[in-house]
Parts: sequence; structure tokens; C-alpha cells
Amino acid sequence: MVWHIAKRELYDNLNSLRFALAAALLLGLMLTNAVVHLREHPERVRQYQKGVSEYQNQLTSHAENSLYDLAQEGPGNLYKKLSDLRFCAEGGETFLSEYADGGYNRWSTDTLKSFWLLAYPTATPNRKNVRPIVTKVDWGFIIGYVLSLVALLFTFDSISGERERGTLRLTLANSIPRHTVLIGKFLGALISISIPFTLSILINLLVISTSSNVHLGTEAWGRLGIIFFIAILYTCLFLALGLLVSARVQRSAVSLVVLLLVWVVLVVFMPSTLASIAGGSPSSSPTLDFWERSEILHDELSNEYDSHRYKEPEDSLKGMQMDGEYVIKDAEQQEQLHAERLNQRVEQVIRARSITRLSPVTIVQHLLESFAGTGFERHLQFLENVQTYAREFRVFIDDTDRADPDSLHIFGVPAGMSKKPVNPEAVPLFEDTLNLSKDFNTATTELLLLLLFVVVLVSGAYLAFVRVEV
Amino acid sequence: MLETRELTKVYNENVLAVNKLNLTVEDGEIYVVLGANGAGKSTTISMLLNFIEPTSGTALVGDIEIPKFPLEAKKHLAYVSENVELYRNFTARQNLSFFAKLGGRKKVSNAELDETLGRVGLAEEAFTRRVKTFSKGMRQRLGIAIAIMKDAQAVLLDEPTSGLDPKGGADFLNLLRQLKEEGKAIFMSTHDIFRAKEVADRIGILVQGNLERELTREEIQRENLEELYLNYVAGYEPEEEASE
Repeated sequence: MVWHIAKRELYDNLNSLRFALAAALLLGLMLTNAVVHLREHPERVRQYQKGVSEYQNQLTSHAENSLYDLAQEGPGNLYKKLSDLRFCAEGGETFLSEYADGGYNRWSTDTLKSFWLLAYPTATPNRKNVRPIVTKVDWGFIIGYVLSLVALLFTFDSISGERERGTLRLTLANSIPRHTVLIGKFLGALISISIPFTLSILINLLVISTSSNVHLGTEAWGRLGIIFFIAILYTCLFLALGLLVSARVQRSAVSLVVLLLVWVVLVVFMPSTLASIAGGSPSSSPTLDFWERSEILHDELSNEYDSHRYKEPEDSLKGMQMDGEYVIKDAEQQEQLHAERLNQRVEQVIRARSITRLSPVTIVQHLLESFAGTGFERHLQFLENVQTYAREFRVFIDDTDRADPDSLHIFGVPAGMSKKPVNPEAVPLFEDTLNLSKDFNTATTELLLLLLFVVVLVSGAYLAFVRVEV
Repeated sequence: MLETRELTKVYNENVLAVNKLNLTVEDGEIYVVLGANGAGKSTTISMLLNFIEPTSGTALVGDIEIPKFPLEAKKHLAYVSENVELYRNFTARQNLSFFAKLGGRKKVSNAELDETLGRVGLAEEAFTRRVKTFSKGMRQRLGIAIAIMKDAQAVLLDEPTSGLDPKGGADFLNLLRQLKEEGKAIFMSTHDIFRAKEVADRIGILVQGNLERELTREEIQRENLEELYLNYVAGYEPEEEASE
């Protein structure tokens, strides 16, 4: 009987103007998304390949000079791998750095040079832009904003309209439990929306897959499947909301007005307001400017070094050890400072994201970013990969130096380290990877939260409908 | 058989809509309940269909208690409302098929649908026309077709003749007589005294939720129904029924 009612809803919707409009709108937006992606993606790919190529050339050149050169210059800029699914969720990528600086040098003297350290460009992550980015016509925008509105337009009169026409009385005069009617209506509306949505997605993917710059592998298709599931779950949330309000009010016009207001609050007002509140919360960053702290630390270390170093002859072993300790400690201190600043910013963004989670559209945008391999969570994965690689690189330098019997094993000083060139092929290369299981882990809370929203609203719609007077 | 026992509905703890209503509609009988707006006619039908819970008392179709076993009871009840709008984008045949399946029919052939539509007087060209092009009279006929298709033991009609032209009204009463001949228990609410007099086997006059008078067929023929009805409702200010 559920299917019988769902079929009627479906037939009614397929013959309606709103279905035609929704289909045209979704198709238009998905095509726009595909065309924009095809225009922008090749340039991004070119930039990424150029960056990776420069990184590899620098690494080879330093390795061929000497181990000291490699150890002092560091690996260079480490680039974030491009996501093939960026068209699904732009994820504020514009505000996140595309690379980490793995060759950051700050000073040099006649005899010494500062050692490389891992630094993160200042836009990483940009604390002034914690709001969801909605201006790009990506799947996140289409699903988060358009699909939710379409879901409300398909359900605002589902119950109130039938009550006005008297068909609800006629239906319930039969031996049918109310929940059967409700489920039938829910499924009918869901299928009605899924048809144009699925078609527009397929056309979008068809257009995108014609480009030689986009390679959608098995994992990408799996991720797309998950994104589709999230979109359907999110649609269910708004369908349930539509049914709930439609059951509670007497007239369809009132239902439409109430739902539009709720939509504006949930989808437009809440994310921007909550993001503003979160962005304006007290920052845990130190009062002193980062660069001031950096300079103070360096000066303190430098003064301490100078006060002891002059006592030792320039080319003595002890003097060389003091030089090495100074260079290495300086690099460690500065890297620690950069890491602290990064952590503070990350914490602030995490706090802002936790607050904006109260809005379903933000939840869905976070989820889409997670599974599209873009956005903040993906950026954290990239930073983790960078830090892991930096450790590997340092271990390699250490092991290679220890393997040279002629080396004094004094790091940080040209004369104290191996002077032999290094086989470039032996140097570990940075490879940024996306991990689906990690994405699942990070997205679990938000998935559960979305599911909770759906369960609460479906239960609310059920309770409202069983109590409705027909 | 349709029966109410002390059936009472009080809205918001102080608005008495129906007061201890006791009536019986036998199989093959047309029982018409007359009453002004707010008399409790629609509330009674809503309780018989379990759209609203009675405050006290009960109602039965056959031996099934409606408030206790509403889904089972509804298998034996058909309903025709005052203003049958139906699904406007569906054709007459599609509407009939949809409600026939809701009424428990597993498979219904087009031939059977067409036969029922023809029986209620719809022209053949209207079978495949969308209901949004139908007049009120045609929609009422379709409503009756839905009730016929369900083949229920009792038929409840809530002011079905309001707004019908004389020809439409007369045809409608003929359809009721056919249903009566098939042995259905028919309970109709109306304030159309003349049509009630024409078709009813018994008439109950409902005034502010109380069944003030019940008339048999002989009494209906004998007495001046219009005068009687006006006497009963005189002095009471008509008001909107709470559920209407």
C-alpha cells in the first residue's frame, strides 16, 4: 500500500510545474558546475604539476651537490595533491594553502646558514574565512541550498493540500494506517526529487569525464556514491521537515510561508551567524606577534651562542659542535613556533566548525568536503602527510650521514657533515595521499549528526500526522 | 448495520458537539440526519470514520467497535464527502482505480472501472478526462463510484447533494436508492429537507448535538417535515461546527 500511495504522489509530482522547474534548475546548475570545472581544472593541474616538478628538480640538484646541501636546503615546497572531485565541494580551497614550505631559510653568516624548517604559509588555514563558501556553484551549493529548497517545495502541501481538497479524508476513510500514508508520501516525494537530481548528476559527470584532465578511478566513484547517499539523506531531512509543517498547519499557503522562513533560518541565517559568532570568539593566540616572538627567540639563542662561541677557536671540534648545536636548535625552535601557530589556527577553525554544525547545511558541506577530498579536514590530512614526510626526510639525512665514515656527524655545519653527493633516487619523495577510511573516521560525527536530524524530523512528522484532525 | 451508542463528543472540555447519540441504521435502509450548521452532523460522521475520538460512547459497524478497531471497521465503511475534489491531475478512471486499491481491491480491470463509472452516469468520454475539468456534479458521481467500488457494508455521506443542480441531485438520489437495494446501510447528513424527504427511510433531527426527533417513513410522509424541522431549529443560533 505504501508503494501504491508513493506511485500516486510520484505521478502527481511528475505532472506538476514544480517538477519541471526543479529539473531545469538542477540540470542548469549541474551543467554550469561541469563547465566551470572543465575551464578551471586544467590550469590547477598545470600549476600543481609545475610545483611538483620544481620540487623534484630542486631535490635532485641539492642531492647531487652534497648531503649538507640537501640537509640545509630541505625538500622545498611540498604540494597538496589535487582532488579529482573538487567540483563536488570547493571547500574553501581558495583560502587554504596549496603547499607547505619545506625549505624555509632565514639567515646566513660567513660560515653558517640556517637549516630548513617546516613552515606553513600564512593563509593556512585562513582564520578569517571560517564561513561556508557558497558562492561557487559546486555540488555542495546545489545540494545544500537548492536541493533542500526543492524538497520543501515538493512537500509543503503534501498533507495540508490534501486536507484542503478533502482527499485526505477520503484516503483515511479506508483501512490504511496513517504511518503508511505518511511513508508513501515521503517516498513519493523522495523519488520525485531523486529523478531530476540523479539525471543532472549523471549529465554533470558525463560532461566532466570527457576532459582528459579528470581521471575518475574506482575510489573516486566510491566517493561519489557516498556523496550521493549524503545528498539523499539530507533531502530526507527537508522532506520530513516539509511533511511536519504541512501536517501542523491548516492551509498550504501558511505551510509554504513557514517552511520558507525555517529554510532561511536553517540554511542561510544560521551558518553565517554562527560562523560570525565563532569567528569573533576570543582567540587563543599569544598577544605578541608571531614574528616578534620568532625574532626574540632567535636573538636569545644567538646571544647565548655568541657569549660562548668566542672562547673557542674557529676550526676547533668543540667550536664546530657549538655551531652545529646553534643551527639545529634554532631550526627546532622556529619550527616549533610555526607548529604552535598552526595548531592555534587549527583549533580556532575546529571550534568554529563545531558551532556551525548546528545547521544541517553546514554539516552536509563538511561531509561533502570530507568525501570530495577538499576543504579543512583534507587540509589537515595533507599537513599530517607533510609532517610524516619531514620526519622521514630527516631520518634519511641522519642515516646517510652516519653511513659515511669520513663524516664528523656534526649536523648544521658544512665541515661536520658528509661532503659526498647523494643519489637523488635514494632521497624519499613526498607523496600526498587521500585516505577514504580516514575520511570516514573524520566524517563519522557529522554523519551521525545528520542522521539524528533526519530521525528527529521524521519522528516529528509522524507524531504530527497521527494527531492531525482530518 | 451501523449503530451509535451514547456517542458523545466534547471539544476543548466545554463545547458539546454530539450528546449521547443513539441511533441504528439497518442494512438496506437510508437514514438521513437533518440539522443546521453546527448541529453535530459532520462530527458524528468523523467519529464513525474514527477521524476523531469520541469523548464517550461508541459506534459499531456490524459487530465491530469502530473506536477500538478502526482499521478493521473501515473495511466495512465507504465515505462520500460534501465536496469531492479528488486528485485533479488524475483521470476519473485513475482516481477510481487508486481509491479502489486503497479500499482493499487487489486488481481492478478497466472494464470493471468503466462499468462503475457508467453506472453512476458519467459519460464515456469523461472516463479518461482529468478530474480538474469536471463539474461538481461529475465529481460527486465519481465519489459515489468510489463508494460503490469499495462494496462496503455501510455508506456514510456528508452533505453530498449540496451545490448540485436539480438534475444532478435527482440522479444522485437514484444512485442512493440503488445502493439501498443492494442492502447497504446508508447514513447521510444534510440540511436539504426536500431531498431527505424523497429518499429517507428514517430521518433524525439533530439540534446542537442532541437527536431531538426520529421520524419513520410513514411519519415523513404524513407530517410537514419543513415546518417540523424549522420548529426544532428555531431559537437556536446557527453556528459553525467545530470540525467543519
